[in-house]
Amino acid sequence: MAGEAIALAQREEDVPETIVRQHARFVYRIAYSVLRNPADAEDATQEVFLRVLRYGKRIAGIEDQKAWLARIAWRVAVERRKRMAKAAAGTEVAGEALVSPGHGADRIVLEQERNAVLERLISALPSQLRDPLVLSTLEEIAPREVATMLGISEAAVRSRTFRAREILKERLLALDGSRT
Amino acid sequence: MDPINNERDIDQWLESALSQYGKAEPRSGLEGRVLANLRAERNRIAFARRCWWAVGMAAALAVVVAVVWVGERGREVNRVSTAGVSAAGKPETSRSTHPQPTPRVDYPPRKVTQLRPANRPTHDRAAARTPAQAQFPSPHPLSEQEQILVSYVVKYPEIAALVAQDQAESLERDREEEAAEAAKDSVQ
Repeated sequence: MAGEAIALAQREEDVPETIVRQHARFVYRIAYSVLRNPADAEDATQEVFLRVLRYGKRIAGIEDQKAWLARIAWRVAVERRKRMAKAAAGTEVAGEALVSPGHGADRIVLEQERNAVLERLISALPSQLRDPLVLSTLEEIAPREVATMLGISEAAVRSRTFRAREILKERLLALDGSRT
Repeated sequence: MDPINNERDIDQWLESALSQYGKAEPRSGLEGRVLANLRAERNRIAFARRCWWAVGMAAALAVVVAVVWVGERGREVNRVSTAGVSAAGKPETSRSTHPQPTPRVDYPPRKVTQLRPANRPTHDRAAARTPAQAQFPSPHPLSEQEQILVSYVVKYPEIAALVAQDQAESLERDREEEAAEAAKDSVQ
């Protein structure tokens, strides 16, 4: 009896560790897709698993742990982004710092510049369009799960993602046209 | 040089850029760092729990000590007040075999002991400090009724003195009547 109880307690204690080993990278990607900064994404990942730890024994009763984690990671990352936006109001987007004409070939520089521009364009989108677009770029999340995370229908996720892509395309074309 | 020269190219580039957008790899050892942080948090929670338990136990102990102390103190106060009343000799009037002369409220307690020095045994110093009435009959704990009477006397000494005075007068009257009747019988 005592041996069984100890084994059960150990199993319950191991639940967060198992979750960490299985889903840490997935959580990190969600956090990174929102925060776009490796250090912030890792901090957010730590925070997500600390929240998971507080659930204790209840974790074992959660059916779809991945979707549940995705929701927590999303909430944590969005909260962190809001806090950071408040703290660093008026400062430039971090992506712009990546543009460094002094390094490598022209093509790499141009690619880096375009990625920075893309990041800036995505961050400039309204959150209604940006959130479905950002989440749909993650391979591990199906549109149905994105819909659950954002509390909207799957059709809305698809249509908003499409609209967001159209806006990005238009703006990239406009930028390209203004340059040439 | 520019790879984006028309709408189709932009579309393709956007497709690949967005697929790269979601492919972020963390620094190696992310799981280890997260697990270490979780262990530290677990230890912190366990320590906090132990601290709260210790604080709770200390508080419970303090409450128990306070209750015991208050109880002891109350008992001591009762003992002191009982001793004070018996030294004054007021409740002893009901137990004494001989009726006392009319008691006065303002009688000092020492006067009673000074009035009856012969009843006091000389070999017992502790007994000498208590009034003579308490020596005979031998001291014994007060009954419940006596305790009630004591507490009444402590609370209302003046009223108790008046009651005692009234009882003494009535006893005196009874004795006088008995003596008168006895005299009448002897004449007949």
